[in-house]
Amino acid sequence: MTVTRHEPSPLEVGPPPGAPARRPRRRAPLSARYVAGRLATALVAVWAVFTLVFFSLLATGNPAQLLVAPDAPPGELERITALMGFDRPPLEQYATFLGRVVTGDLPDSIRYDESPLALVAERLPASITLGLTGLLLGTLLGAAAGYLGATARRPLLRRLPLSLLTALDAIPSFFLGILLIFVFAIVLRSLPATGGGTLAHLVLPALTLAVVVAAPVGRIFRTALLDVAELDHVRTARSKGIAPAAVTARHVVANALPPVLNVLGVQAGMVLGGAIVTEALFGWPGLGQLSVSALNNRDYPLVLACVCVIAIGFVLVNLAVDLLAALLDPRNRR
Amino acid sequence: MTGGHPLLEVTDLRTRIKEADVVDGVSLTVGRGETVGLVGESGSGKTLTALSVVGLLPRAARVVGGRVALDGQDLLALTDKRRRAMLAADVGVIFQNPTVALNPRLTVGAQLREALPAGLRRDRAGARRRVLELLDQVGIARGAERLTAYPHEFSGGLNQRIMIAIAIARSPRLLVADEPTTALDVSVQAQVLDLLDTLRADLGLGVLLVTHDVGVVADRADRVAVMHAGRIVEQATTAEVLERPAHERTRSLLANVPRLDDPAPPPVAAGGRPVLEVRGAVRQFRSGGGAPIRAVGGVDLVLHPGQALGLVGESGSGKTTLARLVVGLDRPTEGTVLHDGDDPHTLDRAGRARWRRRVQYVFQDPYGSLDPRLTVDRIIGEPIELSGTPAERRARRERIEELLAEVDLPASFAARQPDQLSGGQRQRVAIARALALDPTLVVADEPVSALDLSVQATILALLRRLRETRGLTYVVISHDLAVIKGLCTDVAVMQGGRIVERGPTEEVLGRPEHPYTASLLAAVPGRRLAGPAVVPTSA
Repeated sequence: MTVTRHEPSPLEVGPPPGAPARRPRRRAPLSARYVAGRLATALVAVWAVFTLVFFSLLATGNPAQLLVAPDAPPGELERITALMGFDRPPLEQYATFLGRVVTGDLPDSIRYDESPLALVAERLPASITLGLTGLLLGTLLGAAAGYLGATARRPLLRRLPLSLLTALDAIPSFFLGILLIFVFAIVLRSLPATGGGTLAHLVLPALTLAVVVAAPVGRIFRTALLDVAELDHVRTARSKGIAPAAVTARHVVANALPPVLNVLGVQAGMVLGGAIVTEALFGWPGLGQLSVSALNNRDYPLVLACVCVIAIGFVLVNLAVDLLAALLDPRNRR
Repeated sequence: MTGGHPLLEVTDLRTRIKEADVVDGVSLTVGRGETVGLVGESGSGKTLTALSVVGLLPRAARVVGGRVALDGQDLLALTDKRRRAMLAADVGVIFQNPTVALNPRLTVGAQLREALPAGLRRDRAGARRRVLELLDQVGIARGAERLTAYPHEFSGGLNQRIMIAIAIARSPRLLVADEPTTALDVSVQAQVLDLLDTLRADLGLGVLLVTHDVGVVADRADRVAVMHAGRIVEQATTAEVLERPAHERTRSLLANVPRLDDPAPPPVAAGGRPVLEVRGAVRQFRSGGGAPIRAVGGVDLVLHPGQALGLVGESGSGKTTLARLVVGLDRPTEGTVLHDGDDPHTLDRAGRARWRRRVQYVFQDPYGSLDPRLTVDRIIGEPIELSGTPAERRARRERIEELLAEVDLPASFAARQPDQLSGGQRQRVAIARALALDPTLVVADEPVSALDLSVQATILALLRRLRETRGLTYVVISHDLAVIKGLCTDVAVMQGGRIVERGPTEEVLGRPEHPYTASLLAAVPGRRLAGPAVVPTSA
């Protein structure tokens, strides 16, 4: 649905009193054209990632060399290379690769002799659980710290939470994770250090991820709140005589959300791809751990599948961010 | 209850920012059905006075003394909550820039509903009826269809009507309007002021009209208070203030208003090769899916050395797009723009470098157009470093001193940064920068509209003098016809991307032939400023 611009005629008068008032049309919150446009952009982004991944793998040399034992008879390398199609022209390989990606028919994992997609699918739920918990926890912590930072009356309350988060964020994840393990698993013995499966196992890795999310979210939210509070339309809202709390909720907080959403989009990507360290540290049975072992084993089909799934996740998250941002701010709907 | 009290009575009001009393003992009254104009230059404290009255001061400012009585009840003596309730019930506020004064995220309908009295807000059908009634009252037709629209889908004038509807939603008795029409075109300005007048008469409102525009006050206010440095220096009926200004500040304020009855510079005979030739210029922009927008639709212009052309028209008429084509910041979709016979877009590297020195641009906002990190020396010297000859680069220092002297700034200013300069001084720096390479053509887009009247007058005098001493050719864009009158030998009136009338300034503004020119002239405020001479003879 396109937006119609109402231009007033120079000396407009209202309808005569008593003229039947027409009901306003209900507008769809997002136009189909906008959603379609965003979807198309997302598809192009995914294609670009696949292409980039493919050509970077191609540039690292002939994978067949890794499959052939060092003491194999001469000719064996050529045989494997031809068997796997690595001697074809790059563009032909690319076409085959794209076809296989579209049909989901990737070559089997070299180490596990299984479809890499099945392996990824098996690990994906654990990663999503960890990622979402970390993201949610981090958003809540960050939003609370940011809100306090912008509105609290006491200087201590205004500064302490954000400073604390920033300080924690400055500690690298692997070290923060070890600290957490030391305190909660070794000294207090209240939470398990590694492994997965139970809620208790989730706490420490999720906290480690949450800190990475919370600090930028808190900083951006605080700045956005302070900026929006200075805007003219907030003064207009105050002039209407509605309760200060209503002004804050409807006109300040709601209008300060879009920049936070953008940060969350970036952070969600970090959590998706960057959870590798955290997962490895806490022995969390997710995608990150799978990627690390696939890389160690030079299991190219599996690496490819992991990278692609992470990339698709990143694109999907950003698609969601764009759509949400348009819902929050009508000026973004183009 | 209404007894002998005026509607609003402000006594000895003091408002402080840090240690400075920015409102320093202001006393004024507004009666029922009366419009009181509060005028002054920027920084005089007029807006802070208004915001103190309505309790909407920015965080840094606070009221430290005095009385603000509404119908005899001192607002400052009430608790926060009671004061808010009383202000909400009895005082409506209208702000300067309607497009940013409305929440971009909420529909117009939602923002109107929010302004209703709390009781009515909860009754859906009743609230809807009242909102439509309000839209009707402020002259917005088909109100029901517009409730689901967002502010960015409306023009500035329409948004200001929405703002006014919000201000009168709780049936206030006092309306405080802070520069209500400053951001609007003259014709829209006249409509909005008419609307305020009608509401004042119909609803018996008292109106406190805060503005820098002496013309607006002259036309609309019953009484005028003139502010300077936080104090009211003169307060009397409008006629008295205009005819017998008692205070020196009032006199200088009136003297600096650019007037349509001032003489225009005499026409310059066409001679020699044209500095600028625009032939059949069209500039189209693609719009989202719809037909392309023709911002400039076939313009022909010839400008000879020494001429100064004023481009006038309302926002959206294509003035700025045409100016961008003229300085080569943009290319026409069709047609050509020639400078001294050359098309800058077909020149080779050396030719382009030479051309770039001949054409310069002066922007509207001296606050935004100067890099805040650079010194004045760097700002003026930049074009010399980038496009100057080696000899010019060696003489850079002396050249900058000369340029500063030419725009009446002391040489010591070279070391300053933009935030150490006033608005007028910044615009002088911007002009010096434009002159650094001795251009032949200077394009100025609203060169004085961001400045106070007194500063405006000095910058206009400077621009006039530079045209005479340097023989410059100007293209000046302004929404203010009086500014054009004082500066330009010729005028071109633009409407819908076309030039509808063109000729020597005295003729076009004195005896307009096109009805659009006449309507622009008729909408100019300030008719009461100078008697019948201001009114165009055939409008």
